[in-house]
Amino acid sequence: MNNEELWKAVLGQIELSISKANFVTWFKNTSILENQNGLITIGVPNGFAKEWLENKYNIYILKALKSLDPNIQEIRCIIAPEKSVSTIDSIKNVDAIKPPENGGFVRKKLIEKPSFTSSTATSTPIPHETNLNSRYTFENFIVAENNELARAACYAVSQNLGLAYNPLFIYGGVGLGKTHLLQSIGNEVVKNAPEKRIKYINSERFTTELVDSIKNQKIDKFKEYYQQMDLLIIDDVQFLSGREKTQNEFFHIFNSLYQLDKQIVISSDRPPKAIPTLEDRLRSRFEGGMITDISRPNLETRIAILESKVSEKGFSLDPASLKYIAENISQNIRELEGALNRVIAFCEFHKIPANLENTQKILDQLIENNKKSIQIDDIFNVITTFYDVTKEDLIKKGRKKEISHPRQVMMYILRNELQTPFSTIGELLGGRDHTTALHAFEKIEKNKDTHSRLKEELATLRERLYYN
Amino acid sequence: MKLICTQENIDRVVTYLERVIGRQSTLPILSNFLLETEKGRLKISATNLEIGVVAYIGAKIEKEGKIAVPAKIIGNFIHNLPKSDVLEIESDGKSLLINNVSHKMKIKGLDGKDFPIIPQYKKDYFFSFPAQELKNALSRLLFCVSLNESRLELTGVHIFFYQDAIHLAATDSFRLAEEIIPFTDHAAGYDDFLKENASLILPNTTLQEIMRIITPESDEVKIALEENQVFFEIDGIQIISRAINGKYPDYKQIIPQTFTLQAVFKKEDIQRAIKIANTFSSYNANEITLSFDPESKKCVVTSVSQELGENETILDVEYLSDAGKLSMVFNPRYVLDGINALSGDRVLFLANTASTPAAIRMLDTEGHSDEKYLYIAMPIRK
Repeated sequence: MNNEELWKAVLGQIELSISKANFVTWFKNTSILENQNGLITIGVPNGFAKEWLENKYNIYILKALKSLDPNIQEIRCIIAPEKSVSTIDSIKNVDAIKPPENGGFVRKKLIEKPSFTSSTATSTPIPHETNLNSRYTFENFIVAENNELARAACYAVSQNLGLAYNPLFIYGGVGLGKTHLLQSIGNEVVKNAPEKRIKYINSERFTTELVDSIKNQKIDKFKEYYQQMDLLIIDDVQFLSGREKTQNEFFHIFNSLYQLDKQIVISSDRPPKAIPTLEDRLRSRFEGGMITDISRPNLETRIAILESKVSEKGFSLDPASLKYIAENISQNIRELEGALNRVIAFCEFHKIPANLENTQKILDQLIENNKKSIQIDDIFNVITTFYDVTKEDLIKKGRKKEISHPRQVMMYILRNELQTPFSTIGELLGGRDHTTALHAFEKIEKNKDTHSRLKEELATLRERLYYN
Repeated sequence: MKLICTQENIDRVVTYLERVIGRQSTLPILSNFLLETEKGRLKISATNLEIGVVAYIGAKIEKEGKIAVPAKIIGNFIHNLPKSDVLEIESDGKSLLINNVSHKMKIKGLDGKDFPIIPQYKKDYFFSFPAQELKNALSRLLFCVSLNESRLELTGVHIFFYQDAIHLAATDSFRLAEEIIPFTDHAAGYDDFLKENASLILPNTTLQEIMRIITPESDEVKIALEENQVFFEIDGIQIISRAINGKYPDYKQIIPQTFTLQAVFKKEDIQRAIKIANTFSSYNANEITLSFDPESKKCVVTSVSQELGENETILDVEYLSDAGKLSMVFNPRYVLDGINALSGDRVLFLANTASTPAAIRMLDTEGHSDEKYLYIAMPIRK
């Protein structure tokens, strides 16, 4: 039994014999610091607890300790400063004083008006809601191969509103940093040119505001509000798909901003071409500026991200654990952060050291869930919905391109994701020969890096397989 | 327990002790005072487990004992008794009886042995400071202390120990005040003490309490340190508090060594100008502009509010160094706080550029600046 376990056992016994209020007051943040030749040294947070434990509860503590370890003869208390404090301090930027921003105190508006009705068309900048979260900046964005171009484009845009790339379209999977980059543009502009009017909004909210304004017959004000922005950032634009009226209004706002050389930045989880039911005129406008993608980060980048998060939180974690987390959670940065938070919270809560062994234990469950096992039927489902074919189409004979391509992709995925033998693949898809399956696999394998459309398809399919 | 003491004595210490009583507490006993007899005196203690205060008062003890009684009730009774009364206090361990000629009170109490034990310092105190000087220093520092708990180290006053002086500093990261208190004698072990303890951060609440306990008659404040706790003794009242863990920012490095712009104002003039400017700035971004013009030896204080209007005050400057024109933007509160803290009727304003820290110092009647107190305010970058 180590000191920690011993103390936990002692606390368990004492908790039963004294009142809850007393227990919490006196035993919070205590621990055994040393156990030497029957003398136990207990670390306590302050002088009051020291006096109380030494003079009042010493008998309880000693009795509990002796029942667990008969060798213990004596206890003493010392005041131990909390450990976590020092590590945070060494990392934290120690700036003695800095200039107050906005004069230090900002009066909060008492009544929050709906954002687009609060403005009038005057030339003086009136403070308005940008919806930006100041946590997201270029400084804390980790640059790597997968996002270097997107970041460079965003930075260029933030330095040269409306002139560098307009519109800027960023796409990439969930949790890879699109929102971070988008918000960074906004925050950078706020920093350099606070007089600029900036609006960050996701397309969902945009739709809601539009619907509200139609309901209240304030559609003109809505348009007017958006048309006077210097920088309009629309996040997750794929949600506009299928909303024709919203698309229509957005189209007009887009046009008027674009003509005035006002910057527009858009993000989506797929390229404009792949957004179903997006009006052609919008699609062509999105494609008219700069399109850039963010792909999954590689292992080194994930480790770098974890390292920066760890130091941000003032925690320390050994490299082996970081590597373990980064290796096992590869799809999504948000999940990566979630896993890290889980490790930190667990270690702090249970006061256990953050090492590889504990990290593995803590994340065991999470990683297991993450590797959601996929079945052959799942692949069938995804392929049939994605390509709009039926299962029978895939199985029956016929070499029309609309059918043969999905079939080949299906074979490739079966092989790649489930390691199904080629002969089984052939049988599954209508009793075909194993060489057919082999051919399909090789063809897709060869083309997947050179044909960007195919690459896109595979990425989307994989995402749907694992995340839906 | 049975004893006799005067209302005046007990009233004075109860006033100090009442402030320590915490409002919400998990332990009900913490809303009590502990009354006990010790070495022929009455000892009254109160604590909220952050800070503890122990006061001794002279009394004629007839029977030893102790009891804990609700602070509010006993306080209310004692404060309302006529001065110069003599009180008979008696307790049977369950309740407390207080009698004088015409008033009687019986308070139900709790067993004194459940009251937290307040650590007491029994050895010789290391330092003793002139009480009035310390009180003045604290009054010029405490308004700078940060109230934001997110940076715990800034919620206290930092004390730097030197061979012949202590340097006290407080900042909320927008402005900073520093006071230097020199001292001549200290205990023999001070050199060893210096090796182990270079600095210390004391919580704002503790120092507020110290300031209140120092009366105009107080002579000295004794201070000792042990195991991350600080002990004070003033006029027989002992205060014990934890020190704040953490590393105080290295503030010395941001204080400019030299200043190109030096301006001497009449304190009243500049206070008035900033207060007027404040009326407009407080509705807007909380910004006022100070523009110095060495040619005309004037300083112009302006503030503008888009909605309400604007104002301009032209200030006479008694002395202005030839440093070229300079315009600085400040939060008026941060400048005014610093000026208000100064005694004397003239103020020395020091600055270099519009984006580096500006300083405010006291001037004595002969025009020498007082090097003991320094106030630093950060201008707002434009």
